[in-house]
Amino acid sequence: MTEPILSVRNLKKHYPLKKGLFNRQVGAVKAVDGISFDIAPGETLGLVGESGCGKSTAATSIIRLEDPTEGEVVFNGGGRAGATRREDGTHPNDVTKFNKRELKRFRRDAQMIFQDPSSSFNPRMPVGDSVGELLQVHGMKNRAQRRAIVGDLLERVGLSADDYDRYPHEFSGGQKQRIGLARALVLNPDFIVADEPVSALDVSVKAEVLSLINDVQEEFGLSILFISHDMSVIRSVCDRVAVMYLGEIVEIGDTDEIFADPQHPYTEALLSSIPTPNPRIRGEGIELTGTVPSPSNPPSGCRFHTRCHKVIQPDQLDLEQEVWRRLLDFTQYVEKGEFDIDDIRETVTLDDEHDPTEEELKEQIRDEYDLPMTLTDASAEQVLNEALDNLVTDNEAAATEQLTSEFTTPCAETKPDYTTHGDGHRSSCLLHDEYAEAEVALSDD
Amino acid sequence: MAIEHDAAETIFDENDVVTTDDVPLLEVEGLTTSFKTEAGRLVAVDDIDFTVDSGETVCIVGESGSGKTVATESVTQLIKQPPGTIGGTVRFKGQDLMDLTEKQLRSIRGNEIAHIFQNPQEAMNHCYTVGWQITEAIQIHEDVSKKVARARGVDLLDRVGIDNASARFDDYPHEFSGGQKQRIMIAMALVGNPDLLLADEPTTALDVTVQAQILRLLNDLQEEFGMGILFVTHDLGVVAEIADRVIVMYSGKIMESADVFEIFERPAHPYTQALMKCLPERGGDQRGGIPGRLPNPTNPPDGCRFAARCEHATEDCEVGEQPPQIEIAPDHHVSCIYYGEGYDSSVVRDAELEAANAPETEANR
Amino acid sequence: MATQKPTKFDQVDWDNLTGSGRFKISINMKLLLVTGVPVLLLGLYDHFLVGDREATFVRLGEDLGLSSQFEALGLDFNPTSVDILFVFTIFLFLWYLVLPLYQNMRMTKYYWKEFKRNRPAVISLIWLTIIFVGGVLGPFFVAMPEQDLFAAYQPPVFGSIDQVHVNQCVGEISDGRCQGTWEYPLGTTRGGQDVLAMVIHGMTVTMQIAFITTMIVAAIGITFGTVSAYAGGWVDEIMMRFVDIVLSFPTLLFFLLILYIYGAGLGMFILVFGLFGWGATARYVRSKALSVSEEEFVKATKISGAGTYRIVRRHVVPNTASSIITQLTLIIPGFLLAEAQLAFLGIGDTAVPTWGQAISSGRNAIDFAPWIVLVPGMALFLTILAFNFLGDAILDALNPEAEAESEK
Ligand SMILES: Nc1ncnc2c1ncn2[C@@H]1O[C@H](COP(=O)(O)OP(=O)(O)OP(=O)(O)O)[C@@H](O)[C@H]1O
Ligand code: SF4
Ligand code: SF4
Ligand SMILES: [Mg+2]
Repeated sequence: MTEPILSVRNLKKHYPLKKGLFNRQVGAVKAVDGISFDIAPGETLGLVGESGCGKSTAATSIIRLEDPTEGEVVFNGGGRAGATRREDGTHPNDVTKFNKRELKRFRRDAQMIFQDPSSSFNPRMPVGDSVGELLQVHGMKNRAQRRAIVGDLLERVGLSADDYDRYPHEFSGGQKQRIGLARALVLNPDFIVADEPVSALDVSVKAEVLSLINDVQEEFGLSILFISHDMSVIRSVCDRVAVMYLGEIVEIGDTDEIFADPQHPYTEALLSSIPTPNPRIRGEGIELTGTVPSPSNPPSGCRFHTRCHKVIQPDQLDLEQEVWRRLLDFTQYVEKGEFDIDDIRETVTLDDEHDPTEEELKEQIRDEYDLPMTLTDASAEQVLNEALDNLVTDNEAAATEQLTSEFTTPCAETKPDYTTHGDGHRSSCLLHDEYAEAEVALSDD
Repeated sequence: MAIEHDAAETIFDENDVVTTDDVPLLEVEGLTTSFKTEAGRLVAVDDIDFTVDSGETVCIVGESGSGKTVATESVTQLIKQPPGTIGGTVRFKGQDLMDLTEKQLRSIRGNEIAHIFQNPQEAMNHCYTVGWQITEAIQIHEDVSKKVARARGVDLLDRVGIDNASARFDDYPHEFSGGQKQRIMIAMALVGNPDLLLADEPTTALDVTVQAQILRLLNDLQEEFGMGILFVTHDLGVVAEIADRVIVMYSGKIMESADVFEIFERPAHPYTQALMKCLPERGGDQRGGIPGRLPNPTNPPDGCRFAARCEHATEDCEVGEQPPQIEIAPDHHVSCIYYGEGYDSSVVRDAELEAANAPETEANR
Repeated sequence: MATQKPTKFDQVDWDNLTGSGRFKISINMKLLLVTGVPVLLLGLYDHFLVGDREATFVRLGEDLGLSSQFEALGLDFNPTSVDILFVFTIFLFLWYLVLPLYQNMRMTKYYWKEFKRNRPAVISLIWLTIIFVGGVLGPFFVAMPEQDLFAAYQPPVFGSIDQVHVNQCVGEISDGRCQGTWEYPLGTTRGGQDVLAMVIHGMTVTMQIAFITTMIVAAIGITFGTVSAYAGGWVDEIMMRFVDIVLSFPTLLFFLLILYIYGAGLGMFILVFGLFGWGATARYVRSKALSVSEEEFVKATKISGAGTYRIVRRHVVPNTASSIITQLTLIIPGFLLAEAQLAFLGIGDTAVPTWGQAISSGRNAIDFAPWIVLVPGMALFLTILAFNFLGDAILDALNPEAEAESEK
């Protein structure tokens, strides 16, 4: 087995949430909360997820633009190969423990491409100097040599050596991104983090820059961590993909495999949200309800359970999956105190003039929260009905109690482990666990 | 021309809701928008025609800089004049918007024609609560009490899928996520019960999951209110998802227009075909995009604008004007010389692409 | 082997790259050293060795044994310490603001193109250039206005004044009115001082206040602001609280206090206002520095392995410079006004011919000899206006990103 060039273990980055006069820490935004993966030499790993799921934080922590809270980033590139762990268990190549000198050395071997071409260059410096500065910082004092190297590199990324003296505002976004690539390459690194390198670009320009990145990678055998929220971009450049949700990796595996056969419900939903360029299949995507919860207070158990369309029902219930999802949503609203009977009352009153009866109110609630008038499961129906009775008689506490004690899901209680689906394809969902258990049970027989 | 004009105006004056069956909701003819720039006159939109009917979604697709935004913003003259100059006719329910005063236009803009933009952040006022802004918008359009306006606002937010609308009514824009902000923008656009919605890349800045939600929302709202939607996008996936008809723009000109199935299954214009070939899902293999770039907008070439990048281009393509719009199938217009008389259209037809995308093979997949 | 340096990035052997780490002095620094140091030495010499009543250059001639040559050249000036400091700031201004503009012609042209669009700002710039040149060179050609009671209240050329007010009319008298002459193009004051000469010498003072105070403010404010931004944490906290104190410090009252206890001249005015006027600048610089360091290009530089000093010096400061210059330009009017107000109230340095003094000297004669107030008053007003226009225009012109965005 070849040694990975980068190996991230249980990486965490928490930003303290401070409040008050003395900046007391009142909590933490868990932007990245324990991610692990490897990148092989020459490989491109994609990191995909919705905005705010911690992709960029992961990038900056790995490259140590920020100090991670916890975890290990072992970088074996740049002539560091073959190192073994010290006796105390630390790794000599652990980036998070690098001292100043090692860190500067590391900068030569790992570079980054940024998202926003308009702000990633010093507007008061000719772009050539911006690129050449890296050479200077690392000790190349000869100005003519720097110029020659940068000029040559600019040509390699599809610009001209004369562009050295031009200023950033004189370039288009796509050109700036090419220069950004040149800057990342100039120290001849082994590993590049590309944080949404094309998301600010136009479709046509996007394709050009992507193919340039691909070419450069092949030519120099680079390993790339490629961050994007755009699945189609990921698909076209990455060998493997890691799907992130709320600071965690929920699924990781070969790109083709993940696109063809996503295992985690979130990956599945993400993929099915991509509009297919086929007018004959419309509106068949899985719709995720709600928005990503706040990373300062992530949901218990499986973090995706507040939105998951496959969220597991307790054994005693037998509802249609869709109804079960809505029932849970409704429960969440009531639990969080976001349900307001007065609003319902007002709506019904507006519709017709007399004071609404309790039955009318209950009907309106079911209507507004998309719950069927009777649930197929009798026991569930009974609980819901009682809870609604309590709600319309302003007894919210009792309703909350009934709903939350009856409509529970194992997904909110147990944190799923990773299940392996063969050859580096892992995902974390209780459904797989169950499946795996069932299999184990079978083979035991 | 002038007579037609007057007739249309009478209809409008008598009753602004009446639209006869043959008068489309929006009918744009010869729309030309140019800007004065330092490099000379820049024609961003050059003599284009299109229509949008009630209950119909028309998508304008094209690369960046092809004039999509300018075209939509010219409809209600949101383009600043000067430096812009808008020419041609834009009939909305038979009434030529070009004849209206700025004041009349403003009342049409909020009420009957609504705009939503790409970047919800920029289109909102960050100093006021969302509720305040909606209430304000409602009160501008109608003389109602604050309380009624508020109730309506909550209802609208609820309608566009903001959970707990009443609780979140008094939150500030920055307290909402990007997708929620876009929903709020849509709610505000709906305030005046518009008949026509002009949406300029409303989902481009959003995550796919949120994009899916917004597209669904627009579809639902269209079903509910029967409005016409003019939707600008560069994403063919989105087009396939929501369009009834498609207009393909290139360098300020319309290259091809047809219903969505025709466009995807029998793309006739070399540019449309090239766009399709960029899609791996449709059997495309052109991964690096279409080689070349848009012509200089201040000095477009003679003849077909696409000639420099077109694999079928001949000498005839580079003289005269952009080839005329030729109807090759009902309601399917193409601007390419090969569909004119004396040319063999099978040269530009891409049989391979059409075969790969025929509906039956699609179903087999 | 080592003679041919690789010119391809992937051929560089980093581990064997030995660069001589020689510290290089930029041309700007050299020029400053060559010109500024003698000026400062002269200042020290003047302060410690030359007596109050002696003229500096005369004494210098004696000490150097070059008296005759000095006399032949007419070098008999007696600069005050304010003058010497002024010369030093001018050098600083030349080598660190004007020279970089020349060194970086392409950007300068671009800025100028942007700046040109703003008509009022161009006019302001011309006006301020006149004031600057007049202020620097004027005193060499125009003598200090002298008392001449016989020439009191002479009207400006083309103007006239009732004969009763003048002691002796220099020009013609017609219809019982004394007509102005070219001898006193802008008229004279009650003491017979030439208003034009007063205005020209006032330019010098105005420019001295503008340049020296600003230099002090900039030096303290920028250092304080960047250090605070980069130190962060409690250091930042303490420094900013200190700025609060500076900002709420009653500078004017403090100055009056000094004035009453020790008496104070222009030098003290500049010192006090400079030393207590940098609060806003420091705070501004800090916030700018913080926002610039959030930009991706600063992150990119950090990733490159560059140290903090380099990041601040090469990336943060240049990118805050345009806004700092603007901010500094906009605080100058405050100092000028403060000086004029003090002078008007008669508590300024009467030995220094400022515009404020001139205005003050004419206030009793405003009904029959309005030029005494109007001419310096207009000069002051226009200068203040010009600084304001200039400040705004600089901000627009020096901001390439804004331009790039609008081009999209
Ligand atoms: N105010 C203006 N002044 C001058 N030129 C303009 C102005 N607005 C747009 N243009 C030009 O008009 C052309 C069409 O621009 P438009 O914004 O409509 O393109 P688009 O198709 O919407 O592109 P995108 O996909 O980037 O939104 C471009 O060349 C653009 O530079
Ligand atoms: S564990 Fe439950 S909630 Fe999480 S993804 Fe699996 S089914 Fe969905
Ligand atoms: S007219 Fe000519 S250049 Fe234009 S699309 Fe047709 S073949 Fe191509
Ligand atoms: Mg646009």
